[in-house]
Amino acid sequence: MNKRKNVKENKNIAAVITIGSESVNMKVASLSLGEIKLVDTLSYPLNLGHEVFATKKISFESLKEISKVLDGFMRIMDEYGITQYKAVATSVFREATNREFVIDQLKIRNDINIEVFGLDRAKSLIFNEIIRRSGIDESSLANTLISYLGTGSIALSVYKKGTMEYTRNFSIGSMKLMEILDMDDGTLDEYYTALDEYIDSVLDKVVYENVNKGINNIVLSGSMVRTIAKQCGVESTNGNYRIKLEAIENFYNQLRKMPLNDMCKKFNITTADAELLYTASALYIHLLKLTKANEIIAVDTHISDALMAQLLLKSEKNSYEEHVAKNAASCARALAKHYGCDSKHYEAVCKYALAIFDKLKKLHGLNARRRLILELACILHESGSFINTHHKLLGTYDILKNTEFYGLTAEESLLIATTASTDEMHLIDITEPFENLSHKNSLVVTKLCTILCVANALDKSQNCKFDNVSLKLKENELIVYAETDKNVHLEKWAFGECTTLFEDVFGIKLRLVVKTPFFK
Amino acid sequence: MSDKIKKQKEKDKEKNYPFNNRELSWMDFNYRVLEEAHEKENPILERVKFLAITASNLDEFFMVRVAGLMDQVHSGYKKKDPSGLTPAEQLEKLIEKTHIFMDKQYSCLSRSIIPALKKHNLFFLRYEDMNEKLKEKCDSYFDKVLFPVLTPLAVDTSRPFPFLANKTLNIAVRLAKDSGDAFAVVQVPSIIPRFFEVSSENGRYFVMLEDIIKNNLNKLFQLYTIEAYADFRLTRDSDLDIDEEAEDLMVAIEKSIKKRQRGEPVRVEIAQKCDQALREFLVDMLKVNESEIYEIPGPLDLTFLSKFGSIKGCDDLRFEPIKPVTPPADFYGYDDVFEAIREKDRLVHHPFESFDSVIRFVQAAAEDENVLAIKQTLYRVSGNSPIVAALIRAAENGKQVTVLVELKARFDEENNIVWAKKLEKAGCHVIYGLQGLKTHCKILLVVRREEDGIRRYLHLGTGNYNDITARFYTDIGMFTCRESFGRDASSLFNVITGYSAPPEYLKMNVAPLGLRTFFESMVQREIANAKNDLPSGIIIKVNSMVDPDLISLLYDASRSGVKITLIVRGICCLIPGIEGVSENITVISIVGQLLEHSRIFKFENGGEPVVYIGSADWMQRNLDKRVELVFPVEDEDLKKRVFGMLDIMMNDTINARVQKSDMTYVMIDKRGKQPLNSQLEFYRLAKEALEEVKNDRQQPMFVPKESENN
Repeated sequence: MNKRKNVKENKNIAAVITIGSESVNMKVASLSLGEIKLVDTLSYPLNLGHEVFATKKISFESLKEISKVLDGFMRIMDEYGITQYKAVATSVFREATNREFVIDQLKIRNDINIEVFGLDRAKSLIFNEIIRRSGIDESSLANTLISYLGTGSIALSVYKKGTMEYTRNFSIGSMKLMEILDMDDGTLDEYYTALDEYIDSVLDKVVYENVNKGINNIVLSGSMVRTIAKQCGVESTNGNYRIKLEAIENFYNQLRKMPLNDMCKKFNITTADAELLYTASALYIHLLKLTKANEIIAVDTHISDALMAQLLLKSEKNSYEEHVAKNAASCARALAKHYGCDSKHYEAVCKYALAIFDKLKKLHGLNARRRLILELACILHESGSFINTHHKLLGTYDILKNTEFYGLTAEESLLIATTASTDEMHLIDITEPFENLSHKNSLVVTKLCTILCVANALDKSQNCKFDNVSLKLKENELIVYAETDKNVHLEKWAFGECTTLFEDVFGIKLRLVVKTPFFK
Repeated sequence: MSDKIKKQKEKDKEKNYPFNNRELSWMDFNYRVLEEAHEKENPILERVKFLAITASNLDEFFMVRVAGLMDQVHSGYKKKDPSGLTPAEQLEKLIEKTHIFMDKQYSCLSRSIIPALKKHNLFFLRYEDMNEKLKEKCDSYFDKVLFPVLTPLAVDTSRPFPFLANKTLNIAVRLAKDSGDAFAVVQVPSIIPRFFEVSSENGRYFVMLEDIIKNNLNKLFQLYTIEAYADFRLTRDSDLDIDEEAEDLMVAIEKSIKKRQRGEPVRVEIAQKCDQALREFLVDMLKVNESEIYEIPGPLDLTFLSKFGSIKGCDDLRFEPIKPVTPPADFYGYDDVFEAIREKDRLVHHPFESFDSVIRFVQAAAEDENVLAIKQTLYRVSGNSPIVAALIRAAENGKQVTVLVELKARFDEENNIVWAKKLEKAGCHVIYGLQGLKTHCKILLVVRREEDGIRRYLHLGTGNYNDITARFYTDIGMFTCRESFGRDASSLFNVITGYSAPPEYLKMNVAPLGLRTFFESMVQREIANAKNDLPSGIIIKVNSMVDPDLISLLYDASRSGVKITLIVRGICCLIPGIEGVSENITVISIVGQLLEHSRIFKFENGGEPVVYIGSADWMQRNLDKRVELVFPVEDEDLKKRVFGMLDIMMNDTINARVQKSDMTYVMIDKRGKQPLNSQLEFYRLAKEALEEVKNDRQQPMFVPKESENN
């Protein structure tokens, strides 16, 4: 295999490799006068989707083929002098049970690190890229459904009054629908009707609560956007297509009368693409009909564009993290409302916790991503009451570990769930690592839990008794100054319960100084 | 076959469009070359060379096309071609036509060329015409030079008829033996020149090699009496049958090349007035039909005339050489080739303008420290190619060099294998070609790192990267660094290297996936424009026009009122000037000093004409079985230049012939027209353009006006 050598370094050029359900792709782009310029695109057809969705595995033959393709791609990278690149795999690797082995083999054979992207990471990258490209002020988005349709999954987010309030993922990408409904029997109409009904059943009640006639705008991206737009006779303006409901409906009705073979002939596409075309169109129609929107704004962008922007535009990585933080928090707040959490309480806890986190930066050494985990844990730490008031913390844990947080991985969901499911009554034992977490993550969660407990103690009564809370970090002590003229015995007690743990974890003492306004 | 194509074919059948048979049309092309051998206006040694070209053309035609037809007939294939002939019918007509043609070749030699040579004191002598002194000289040449390399091969019960390689010249000998006749074969060595200059006193006198051997045969068969002898030559089926699915294509091709030498005989040329017993012996041994035998009234294998046409001295008996203009006007004043291309697209017209511009481009890329990668296709490469040398140098300099060497380029397979191995050894990434497709496109891509990012420089052409053929093939090459072209070029190489599926090209049209539909859509657009009373018109210049579907479309266009001019050097299966079918189509063929090779496609496009150039002819093989590339010329100046080229070719009165509706070709009626030889005109224009640009640069910015009193 081609081992990279003799490569002239060129910082203004980068490559992104994506391994998808139907193909292995590479985009090469360069930075020219601050603009990203596409230099080269490669797409090697490799139908991993059928294999993985049917057998749950990537076969050895496919592995060899991927390796061969990557070898060629790396040769191209050498030709452009590319030293910065990112290689990611999406749903097809996610669903393959032997993905770790495949990734390991590709590292050995091609000396390439493949990162498997969860749907939430993919979705958030795409959504952020759509916003970046379109130049939309995110805070101005209202009553808008934004969706990414992959070949193995569909992701939705809903913006209301400038904030993202709802986000969901479904493993029913266009390819997968065809796999699920691999029906040999029945007429064409029966087959397509079954497909439509299936879509209807998957997009459940919760979706309908959020994606409804209150939505005026639909922004879509993902596979088949360009093909559908082309077939609807829509031209692109800066990579965006505006497809009228009527046009897409006509197109969809045409498709319903066609067997796959006819689609291939008519649109000069492969069978795999024909399958995608139908299911993608069906999903688009379905989403349109749920809303009041009379057109789709389809954005021709791909996860590779988002990653490319991060590689080449230094500011873009921060901008993406900010996008995720902002929207993950707003979605968590919407969720907290759904679970009946007391917003005053969790906002207070959140405020205290983040202030402590920021103050202790040098002591905990955790990054912004961990700060977000703490924030989300604070917002949702009371959600367990929604299902069980007696075992609230357990309930919180169960809910949050299965919650898809915008832009976060499943592993991060688990960290949120574990962080949120402790309080001063159920303090963690630092000598016992968390069973379901790695050592590294146990350490992180311990720190976050400690901070959350202290913050929660400061509003133990959930009455927001403290007006002003400020922090002072001394050499061996963190002093929390809190102003109130109310009775704060409960808070003081709860705070006191946390001090030992705090000292054990951060190596400094913790002290609460309550001031009354009179003595201010 | 898609339903759409099937339906179209059925429609075409209904229209009952006429087609010429491609093989017979090819023979007509060779006739046009033969006309040049007859043409008294041409210098005599050029006429000699034209005659040689007809012979080598015919050899290849037999080896591939006639052999193919014979295979079809033997295997019982009966499907009619678009002209309505079965393979058997085609073969019958072709054999008749080739017999007549070969008679005409020798008639040209004996009646026209030999007498003309005599007038210029160039003589071919037969033994019986020589005096003793000259004979002795020849005999001595035999003894010293020929005898050591000759191996007479006897044929009898213990020694079977020897294997005779394709296109070798041999002498069959009948010997008298006590027990009856004996036979032997003597191969005329191909490593020794076919003609021996025996004297240069009062003219130059030449003797054919086989004559010297024949008159010294007794030295080879000292124990026998020589009863009779005759020259004969075999042409064998030489179409390679390559196992393209073999794991190693190079090994598979090497095997096939060996097999080629052993293909079935498809033609036996025997000297006229051959002894009957000897003739029967040869027919028996070679297992050929009477129709495959050609009795030749002169020296066999006229390809030797090519070398004779180039004998030293006698420059006045040849065309004034076209010395390629260096540098081409477009590159004058630029030391940095990249700078020249960055400023604007550049066009070079070979051989009027030097191919060195292309070589210099590769050489500059090989040495330039900012060049990261070079990618190139090679179809036919010269023996000592400076292009390949530059690619090797580039690899040695650490550039990433990718070369597609098409190992399946007919009759260049061995040469290309050698190059492929050399390039590989130097560290280039060599691709041998694509399974089932010949990569015929001419493209060279240089990837360069510049201040504002990656920039790709391209050379795209109509001709091979062959510095030798570039001296006598007319071709066009374009240099550009337009981003859209660069993107397409990278994509094309990604497809060729097998790294990517074919993309949607931005500018280029690439066979086998998109070129046919591109041409179809362009012609259909002209039809629509004609129907809507918008300006319409098509001018196509190709080497061959064979594809029945596109020809049918041109007929449709003609019927819709689209004026069409086809400049087709070789085969043209379209029949122009037929009322109700093709009265709007004109076909001309230019055969001259240089081999017309460029492919140009101009469409009137409703009054905003567009022009494309590239590597593809309008043949099924080009559109469906090859990787071909046709691209637009977009720079306004260059567009005008290409339009001008077409105009000049259409007004050629010297080398152009026009095809009539009976499929014959006639010279252009010169009455009322200025004589114009398009090839010489291009040469003049190339020189003039360079002079103009030189003058432009030399002009002072201010010319002080002197006082009138001075």
